[in-house]
Amino acid sequence: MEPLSSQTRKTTDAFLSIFYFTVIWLPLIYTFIYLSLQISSETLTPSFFYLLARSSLFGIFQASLSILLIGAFSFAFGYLNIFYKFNLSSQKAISFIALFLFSLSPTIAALSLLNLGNFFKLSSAQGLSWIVACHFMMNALFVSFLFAKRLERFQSSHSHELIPLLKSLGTSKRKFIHVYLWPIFKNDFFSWAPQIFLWCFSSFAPVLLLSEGPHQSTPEILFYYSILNDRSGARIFCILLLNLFLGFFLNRSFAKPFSIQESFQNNNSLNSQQLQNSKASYFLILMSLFFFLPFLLALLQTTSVISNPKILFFFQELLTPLSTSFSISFCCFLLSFFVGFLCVIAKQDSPLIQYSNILSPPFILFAWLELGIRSENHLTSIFLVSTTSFLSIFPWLYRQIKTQRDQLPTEWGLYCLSLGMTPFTYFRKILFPQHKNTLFKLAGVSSLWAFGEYAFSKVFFEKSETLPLYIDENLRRYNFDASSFGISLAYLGSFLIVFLILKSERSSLC
Amino acid sequence: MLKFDFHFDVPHKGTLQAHGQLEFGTKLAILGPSGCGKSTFLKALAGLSPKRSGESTWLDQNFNQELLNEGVLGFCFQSSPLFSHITVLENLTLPLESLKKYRPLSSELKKQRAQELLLRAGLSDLANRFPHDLSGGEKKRVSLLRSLIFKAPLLILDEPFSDLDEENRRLFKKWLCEILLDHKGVLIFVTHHESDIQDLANLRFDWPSNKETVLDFSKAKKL
Repeated sequence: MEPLSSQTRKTTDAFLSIFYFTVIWLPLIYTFIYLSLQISSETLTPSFFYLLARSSLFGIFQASLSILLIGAFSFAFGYLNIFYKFNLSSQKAISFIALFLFSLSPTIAALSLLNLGNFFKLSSAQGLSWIVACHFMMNALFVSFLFAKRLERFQSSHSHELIPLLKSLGTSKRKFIHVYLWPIFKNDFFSWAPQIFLWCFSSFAPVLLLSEGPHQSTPEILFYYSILNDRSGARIFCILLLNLFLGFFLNRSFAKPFSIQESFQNNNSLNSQQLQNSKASYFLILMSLFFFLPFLLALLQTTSVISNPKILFFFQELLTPLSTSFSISFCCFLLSFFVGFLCVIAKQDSPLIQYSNILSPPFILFAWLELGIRSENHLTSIFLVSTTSFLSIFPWLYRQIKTQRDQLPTEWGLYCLSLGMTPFTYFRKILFPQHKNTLFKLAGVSSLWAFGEYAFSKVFFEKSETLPLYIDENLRRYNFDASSFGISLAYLGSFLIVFLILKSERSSLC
Repeated sequence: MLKFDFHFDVPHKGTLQAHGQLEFGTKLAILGPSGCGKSTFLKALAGLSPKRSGESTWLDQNFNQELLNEGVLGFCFQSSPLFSHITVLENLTLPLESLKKYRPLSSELKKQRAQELLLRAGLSDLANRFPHDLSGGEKKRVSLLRSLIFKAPLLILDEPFSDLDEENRRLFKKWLCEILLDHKGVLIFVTHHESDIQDLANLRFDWPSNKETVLDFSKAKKL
């Protein structure tokens, strides 16, 4: 029990569900029925089903490969952390890079990899390895960082005498891994792997930008192209059905709330011992630089552009895409913050929203297009893109906030009740201050994703009107000066937001 | 006067009935084994958790938001739930900011009152610390102070000394006795220590055995 009446919470819950149902599920159901009526055997040829099966297998394969690599890297990172004793709380730069890469828009990450490949004139800067590399670059350091942090916490809170005990028994490294590191890793792996797998499986922009051709597509890419080019109702229906089934199955079987909160938290219980091993320190720095390579390259390319007389031209050219992307990002931030605010009040997990994370951008796009929603001017396009990109992130945002909300001690509510606090005071004094930082961070991450939005931009905007479109356009025209300049700016925008997020976290702890 | 006659559910135990009436000046100690439903009873009594049926009243008024906002109830929970996003001082002033009669006071006066209380309890050095920086015993004491700061006529303390070491328990109890000398309302507290009963209570209620489902507080022993 708490001052917020159950009725208020239920009402908010109902409002959120109705909102989500109206803007997403209702258009989807409508189009689903509409499409099912168009099924005919003419378009549903064996070759189409072959394509569908191949794209599903490719989706599962690339996601599994990414997970395996990220897992192996994370395990190695944990191993180094235990045996070479680098203290993560003193490695602010690494935590910054890990969080930055994780929060980075997948489109920007994919575009910068494309730029890297083009710069080194690699014959095939596209393909499975590049898609996996993109997923790896975005997630590996972050997941490893979380794992190492958990190991540190485990050591400081539960088992600070366990390692000395194992050492006193003369335990070999292999045995040590077997009895200590592996069980902790296994536990940790199952907390993040399902979510990252789902994320990689439904990864859209990296596959769209980095695949070599139709043989390397996922059901979502197939779906996207079917909406834009094919327009065969029966085919779209089949892909939609398969996507919904796969998404629902994966979500129901594996998805768990995977909190990014831990990465932000400064662990006060950890000893503030300095880095103990200089080799480990060098290794960490080198590794971070490796992950940062695409950005460093874009930055290097940009510095050569700065001395170029074309710089003013680039600036002029970039003004519109940059301002559009920032506007989309800002709108998404406001929307995320406001709806996140409602999620704090809402009562419980709404299955309607919970299962909506199977709906990645193409589904939302499709539903909206089928309802005849089109952009009429620049402002409408900004609104549409920010709303749709918010909607595709919303289920994730909802889960994070709900997880935190559910962890609040019930006695807090009871205590406030004992003071006869009004619901408004309870919200103002307790709930909002408790969730303020999380809301700010999650809205920041949402806005970063919206900043690099690709699929919706491609539909609602003209060529080069947003930053990712501008970069993509110039990369395709082999205009690397302009594209790298755009990438650097995109990175710097993201940099700024992550910096602000981390700064707010530190000041709130002071 | 506190009157009650209600049924309430205890997890894994079933439904119990409690009835009784406590006059002003009563200092009731409740003793019983862990997990028998003492905390659940206290919460239900104060209207903080649902009752199956019946009611509890303070001066013939039901425990509702309006009554509680007048500062009738000072409740100290067993788990010392201090709000983690504010300092100890802010945790202490929070009730004063929320209760109707203290709202007109300036924030300076509220702070001053909290600081005085901390000083009297010998905890003034904790004022600007956050709950995660406190030990279990310190949290308990701050939590207790928070329930005393607005001089509620009905004080309910759920194992108020449970996390304290012997020395602190003795000192803090002595201090609490001094504070409670002025207290003319009703005090109900749960404890597992006979010494607490001797020092603080004038009425004792032993929780009945598992088979009994009625808690008759009129049978509480006078001390």
